[in-house]
Amino acid sequence: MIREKISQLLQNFDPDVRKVVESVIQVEYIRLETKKPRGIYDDIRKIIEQEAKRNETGVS
Amino acid sequence: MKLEYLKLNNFRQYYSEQTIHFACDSPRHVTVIRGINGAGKTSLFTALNWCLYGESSDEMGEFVSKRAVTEDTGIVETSIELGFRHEGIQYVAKRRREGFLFEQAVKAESEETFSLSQIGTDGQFKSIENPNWKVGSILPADVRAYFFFDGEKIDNFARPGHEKEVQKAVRTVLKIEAIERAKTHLEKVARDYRSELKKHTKEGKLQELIDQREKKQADHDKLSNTLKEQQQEIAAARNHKKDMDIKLNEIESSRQLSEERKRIEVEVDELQRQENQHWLNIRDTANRGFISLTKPLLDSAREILEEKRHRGEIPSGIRETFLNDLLADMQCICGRPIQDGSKEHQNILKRLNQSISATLEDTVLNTASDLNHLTRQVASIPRELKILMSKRRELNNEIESREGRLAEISEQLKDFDVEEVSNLEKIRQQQQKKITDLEAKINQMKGRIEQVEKDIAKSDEEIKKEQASEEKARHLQNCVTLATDSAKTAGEIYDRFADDMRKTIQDEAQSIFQQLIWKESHFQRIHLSADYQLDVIDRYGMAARPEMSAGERQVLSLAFIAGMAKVAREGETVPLVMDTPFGRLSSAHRERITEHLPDIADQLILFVTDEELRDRDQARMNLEPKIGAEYQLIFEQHNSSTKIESVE
Repeated sequence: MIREKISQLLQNFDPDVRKVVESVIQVEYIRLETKKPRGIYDDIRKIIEQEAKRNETGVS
Repeated sequence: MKLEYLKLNNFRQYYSEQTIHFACDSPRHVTVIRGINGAGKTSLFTALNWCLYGESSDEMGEFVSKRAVTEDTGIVETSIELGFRHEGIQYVAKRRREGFLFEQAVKAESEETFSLSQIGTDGQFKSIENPNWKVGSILPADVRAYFFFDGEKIDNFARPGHEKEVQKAVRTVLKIEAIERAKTHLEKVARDYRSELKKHTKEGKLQELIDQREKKQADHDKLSNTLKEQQQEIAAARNHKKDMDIKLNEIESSRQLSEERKRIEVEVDELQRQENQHWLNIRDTANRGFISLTKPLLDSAREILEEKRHRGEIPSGIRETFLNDLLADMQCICGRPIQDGSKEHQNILKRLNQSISATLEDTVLNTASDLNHLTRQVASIPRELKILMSKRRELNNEIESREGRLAEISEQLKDFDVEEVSNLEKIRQQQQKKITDLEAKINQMKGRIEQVEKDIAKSDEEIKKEQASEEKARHLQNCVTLATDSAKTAGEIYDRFADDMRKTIQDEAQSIFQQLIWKESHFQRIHLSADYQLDVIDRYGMAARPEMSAGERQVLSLAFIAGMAKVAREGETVPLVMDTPFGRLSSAHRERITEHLPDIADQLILFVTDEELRDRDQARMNLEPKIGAEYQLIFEQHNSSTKIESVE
């Protein structure tokens, strides 16, 4: 229900932004147990850069 | 997650090894564990929590069976093993400690260990590398508190002034913090991208470089046109001069001088070609001049090699293969036989012992040869230079002498007593002067063009670099926008998510509460306010929580927890484990809860006293068709241990 709700709330946002937010929340879920999760910024950057590159090259 | 079994080994009052198998599958998915006060219900609850999360005091004596440790003089192991299923995979978690008795106290022998294994379809155990993390990802430690709980204490949620606890429960179970963290982390990433972008952005730099390049190209084109004009001009002058030569050749009186001049000019051209070649040779030889500086090093290297050769550390000139061949044939190259043990034989063996591998031998020999070659070169370079310079001087002298003759011829023709000849030669001299001047100008122009071409190539490189940097900047700008927008979006959905989910929990809790509470017509609905105050509204539309009994508050809390569990469930079940759930409840509530709670939870494990669930009570009868496993905890007075007995 939680994931469905998040997807529903993101429905009206830009598809790229929606994809990034959903992926980042997933990454955060996995590390929620850790107070200062190691490598979280690298993972988020990877998500953003992948999405940005996909936009730039037009390859999905 | 569904719990399958719990195996206790020397844990508190549970002596030796005892196992409880939980009921997992509907419709008989309820496990009842009965025991009187002090029989060990809470110890089972503690065992479950300790096994998965390892939370306990550091005192070894807290867990180890006192009976086991006093009966055994050595080291006693205490452990809990929990078998469970999650997302179709079977797991076995095991936590253990070792201790021994020392001066009436239990001392720890080793560190606590925790392992988690996954059972494959082939029945093989596969150990999980990070067991704590895995357990946390299946059922986070802080979320667990809302699924494994003490029934008597849960009414806290419904007590006034416990809003923070309710808020914490909602935030934890719904993992709201993940959205909050996503927003914060995205904002930080966006900031990082912005500062990276600053390094790559130089406003107008690329345009400036392109403008500079265009300017250089324009210069180049202009110079090229001038060169072209000069080349056309020199071609015209040469043709003009050639015409004069033809005309001078046609006139009888000047023909002889003209022909002589033509012949000398051909010779001068050839001598100049040779002089040019000599100049190139001198340059090449001079470039090798640095070898002269290495003479001391070469001498030193040769001395070292000689010394090593003398000591027999490097080849003495006789190849290892040659010596081996002699020994194989036992015959000298002169044909004389070599006797075994003879002086000659001994000598060959001695040489063979001093010999080294063929590769090293080759390297040493090549090095020696290279050194000799370089040394010879050092000696020959000054000599070569001297010869070349002398030859060049000779050539220059010859050119000079011929040019002198050419000047004489020209003067003779200019002063010729035939006017036509004199005029033709004057024109020829003018053209020659023009040609000489133009040649100098053309050479200069070619040099300038070469320099501009180099500048253009440099500009092209800079433009390429800047374009790459701008491309990176464009990418970074996209990342900045994406990260900023995503952070903003995460912030926007955070409030809406929290609010929507709060209302959903309220509705779910409301529906469950109506099933569990016997005064359903009085307590009309549950209200979970925006500031997380949990209340009940009565038929008069007024807040009724202050008037609720402890039992009713317990039911309200239970409904709230069950509502949260339902909302939080992500397609996967979580067991409800309740210690003393009905202690404070009257029979009416007990009956309702036992009737409806099994339908709310996918797996229900109840630790109850005999009083809570009497054999002939309606509550017991409600539960009966759903009970899949039942155990009785029997405390044995004679050894202070609890025995777990299955109830058929």
